[in-house]
Parts: sequence; C-alpha cells; structure tokens
Amino acid sequence: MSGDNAVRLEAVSKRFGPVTAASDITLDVRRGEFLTLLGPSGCGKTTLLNLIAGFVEPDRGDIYIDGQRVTETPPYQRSLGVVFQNYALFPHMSVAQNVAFGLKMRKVGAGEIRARVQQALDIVHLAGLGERRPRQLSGGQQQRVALARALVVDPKVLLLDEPLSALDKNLRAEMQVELKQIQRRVGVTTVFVTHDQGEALSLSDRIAVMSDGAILQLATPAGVYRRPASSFVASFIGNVNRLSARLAAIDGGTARVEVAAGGSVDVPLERCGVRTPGRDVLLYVRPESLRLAREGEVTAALAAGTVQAHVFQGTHVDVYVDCAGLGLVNVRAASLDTAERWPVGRRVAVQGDMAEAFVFARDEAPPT
Amino acid sequence: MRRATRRRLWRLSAGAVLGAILLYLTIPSLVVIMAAFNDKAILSFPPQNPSLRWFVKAYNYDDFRKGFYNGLLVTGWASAIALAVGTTFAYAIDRFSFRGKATLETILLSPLVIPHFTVGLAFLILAAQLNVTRTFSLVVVTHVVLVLPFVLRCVYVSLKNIDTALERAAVSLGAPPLAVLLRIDLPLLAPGLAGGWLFAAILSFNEFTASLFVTGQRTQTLPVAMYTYIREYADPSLAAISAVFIVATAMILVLADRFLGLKRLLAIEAGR
Repeated sequence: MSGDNAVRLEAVSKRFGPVTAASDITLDVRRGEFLTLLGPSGCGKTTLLNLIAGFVEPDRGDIYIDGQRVTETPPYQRSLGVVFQNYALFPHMSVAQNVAFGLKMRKVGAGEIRARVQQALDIVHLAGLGERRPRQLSGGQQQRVALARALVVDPKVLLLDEPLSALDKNLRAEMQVELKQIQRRVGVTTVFVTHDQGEALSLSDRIAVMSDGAILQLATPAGVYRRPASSFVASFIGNVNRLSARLAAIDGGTARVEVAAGGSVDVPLERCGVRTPGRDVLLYVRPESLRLAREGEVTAALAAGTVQAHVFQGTHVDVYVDCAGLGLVNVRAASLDTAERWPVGRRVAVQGDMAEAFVFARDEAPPT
Repeated sequence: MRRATRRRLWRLSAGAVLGAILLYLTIPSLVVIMAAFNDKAILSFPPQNPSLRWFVKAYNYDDFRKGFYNGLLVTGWASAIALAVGTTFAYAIDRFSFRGKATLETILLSPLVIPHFTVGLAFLILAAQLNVTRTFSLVVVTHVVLVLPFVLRCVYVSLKNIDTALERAAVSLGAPPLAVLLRIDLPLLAPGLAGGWLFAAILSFNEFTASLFVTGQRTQTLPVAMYTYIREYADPSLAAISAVFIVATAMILVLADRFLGLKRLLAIEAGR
C-alpha cells in the first residue's frame, strides 16, 4: 500500500504551546519526486520537515519512511540527508571531512570513504576543494558542500530547509537549476521547504501549499497556479488581481460575475467557489489574462481606468491601471513598446480572458 | 592648508593622550620591575646599581617556595573543579529551560560582585565549625567559588556560539548523541574551555584577599606569603617576585592569544 511512497505522514499533529504547527496532516511523498512545502513563515512547513527528520516528535499520528514506521526512531537511525538554511557545515573540519562525516558514522572503510567523497564533490562541482575549510568558501560553494554531505550517504530522502534563501539573487537562480539537475541525476526523493513561490513553481514535481499547520492544496505547479483550491492559495502563488465583484447568476456551466466597476463577465462554473447568487465575491484574474484596449472600442470590457504606471520587466511590461471601484489593476503586456502605446494618464479599457479566472468568497464577510 | 595643519595637530594631541593613558596603566608594572633590579635593601625607585640579588634571595626563601608550590596545588585543583562544574552549569543554562534558571545564573555569577573578604570570612567561619581550618580542601573550595563565574561565562559564550543546526546536521548524518558531543560540541568548545580554565588558573594563583582568611601557616599561597613577608621586611625581593609574576602572566596571555585567540576567549568578538 505504502510501497510506492518514500515518506508517509499519517494524521500527524504537533503543537508548540498554544501554536498548532501541524494539525492532522496526512501526506504521501512519492519515490523520486521533488515535493515542496510552500507557505508563509509560521505555517508549519519547517515543523513538518523536522518531523520527517526526527528532530521533533509528533503529538499524534505516525510517520513512515520507505514503508517502515519511524515515529519513535531517533534521527540518527533514519538515514536521511538534511541541508540546512545556513548550511550548518562543521567549521572545525575540512570540506572533505565534512562530506566524509556521515560515512564515518556508518563505519565505512577509509578507502571507500575517499572514493565516495571524491565522487560527491565531483557531482557538486567542487573537486579539488576538499582540503579547504568551510569559511574559506563562498556562500554558493558552502551550499554545494552541504548538498554533497547530505547526498554522499545515499539518503532515503533528501530534506532541504530553505537552502537557497541565504544566497544572493543571481546565485540563487543558478543554484536552483543546479539543484534540480543534481536531484534528477541522483533520483533521490526530495522534500523542499520554502516560502518563495517562484522557487516552488520552478523546482517542484508537486507543491503542498501550507497555512496554519494544514496543507491547503497538494498539486503540480501548474495545478496550484491554474486551479488554486482556495483564495489563500490563489493569492500566495503568482501575481493575481483581486477584484471586488458580485455573483449575479448561475446559468448552466457558467457563473455571471458583476465587477464593482460595472463590467460583467462569465466564469466557468467549476472555477467558481461560490454557488449562492447575490453574494459578494472576489474575482481573481492573473495579470497575463488581462489586456488593454482603447476605451469605447470594446463592448465587453471588465473595467475602465487610467494608466498609472509601467514596470518594465525585461520579458514583459506590467501596466498598472487605476480603475474606479477596483483600485490598481495589474495588466501584463507582452510587447515591450507598451509604454509608448499606452502612456501614463491614458484612459483605457481592461479586457480579460476569464477561462483562467476564478471566484472565491470574500475572506472577510462584508457587513450586511 | 590650515585644515591639514589642524588635522595634524588633532592627531598629535590624540596620540599624546593615548600614550599618557597607556603609561598610566603600565606604570605600576614598570616601577615594580625596575625596583626589582635595585642593589640596595630598600624598595626604591629608580634603581641605582642594577643587580639580580633579590631574585636569588626570593628564589631561595623557603616561605616563597612553599607558597609557590601550595599555589600551584590549589590552582590546579580549583581551576579543574571550576571547569567541570562551570561547564556543566553553562550547558544546563544554555540548553535547557527550567524553573529558577535566572536565579541559578544570578547565584553562580554572584561572586563577581560579592567582596572576596566576605567569601573568605564566610568560609573561615564554616571551616571553624567543621574543624577543617588548616586544610588545602578549604582553600580549594574557596577558590572554586571565586573563579567559577569566569569559567561559566567563558564556556557559556562558546556554547552560545555553537549553532544547534550543527548538532542536528551531525545527528541527521547518523551520529548518536555521544558522537555529537565528542566530535562536534567538544572540538568547538575547546577554545572556550581552555580560556575559562586559563582565567580560572591565573585568578586563583593571584588570589589574595579570600586566601588570607582561609590559609594557615601550612597552606599559605604565594600572595599570602608575600604579604606576610612585607609586614616584616621591606627589601626588593617582593619586587623581584612581582616582576616574575608579571612577565610570566604576560607570556601566558600572549601564548593564549596566539594559539587560542584571546579576543574570542574574552568574548570581545562574537566568535564563529
């Protein structure tokens, strides 16, 4: 039953005083997959990682690794690899000794240790730096040592606790690619913790979006991006416009939504989280689903407003349109001469493709 | 031009003030060392005819010799016990949270603010009750109390600087608790332990006030022997001993700085 799962959490709960860090979580991590625990700080994602690692014991529930129950197994008998946020390299050991530590603890022979350390350093492109001390290495190199140290023991699961957050932006992008490549090549089951949705989207096979100690949605990156299960997931992943609206009517397979500014659109019913006509809702539209048009030229406009600002992003331009009743609406335009075509101050109509929009109830119930 | 002149003047006067302060700080040591080389049998400054006779006399004086060996004995035991006890408490305070933790910390550090003669007097009264006034154990016990805060602080700071993620990393790599202690904690703590021990040793060896109360004729340490001596004689042999004291301590500190990193031991710098 759990034969295909590298890790299984079964109804696991953990409280720290008044804080619920994990509430009744059940989660299966498939063999060889790259699973990301994504959420804001304090959502319990690191606690979940610590539960798998064994640094923290659950109050209730069970944890299985490779089909074996390890709920009470101490962390040093779980054969996992962990990479910490600040790398946690042993400062009094050389790079090679750091990498060799896990093998030494497993009483591997000296010759084999040398060969496997060499091989691990090769994988992370650090061959020849084995004699250095960790503090003589750059942040990116330390990161690689930490990765090599975790991988060299052939862990059943690789646990990564925000490993990229201490790196500067360029290096982070570079390490993302490398991390993914290494993980593919080694084929190790990986659980990755991050609060960075970009990292989660680009690295993961599946993402578990967490909040307040619970998993809100578990799906592929495209799944959580295109079909968020709740307003929280929708707001947390990617950029999204949240437009005040009212669910006017449900007609067959579509929901008619009236935007506060006056426009009215049809959203596929399965993308609508509210089924009571007349209720105040929020219409979620990604910036890339919106486009600009001359005012008056289009009939089915979502809203109308004044161009407020352009943010040039290299591959696209984010245009911010001030719409009455809606505030700033972000429209993503692909053409790079957008600023000339739609100068600041120009009145425009905002049109949208509602096939990718979604509707949720307002988080805060409006006063009635 | 005028600005450059002013700046130079400013730098010059700042240097002069600094120099004066340094001179003020070192003058006691310098005077004593120079007085030690005086040929005459009085403590005078500056020395007239340089001579080493007071070094020889001090070296051959029985009470000083005995005091020196007594001091080594007491220091050896006191610093070792303080190291063991201080490390245990520092570990407990750093790693566990328990009721009365703050109180425990205050009590352990209190000898820093309680006058040494109070401690000495207290132990003397206690020892009289128990009939152990003339024993080395009494001196050792007194010294342990006095140097404990220094050991505690040194070890505590080193412990604080150990990232607990290092221990977790070691555990995740398959290290059972004992291996974590021996291969991770102990090597990383070593400078702090050495520093704590060193300060305990130097303080214990130099301790006078409390020692005056708790030592007897048989157990007197070198500073007490020196005090007894100067009450009767006023020749420069004391200066000679002091000179040796100063030079030896300075050398130990220089070596400690070279090999252990004194700044880190004193926790002036947040060590890594």
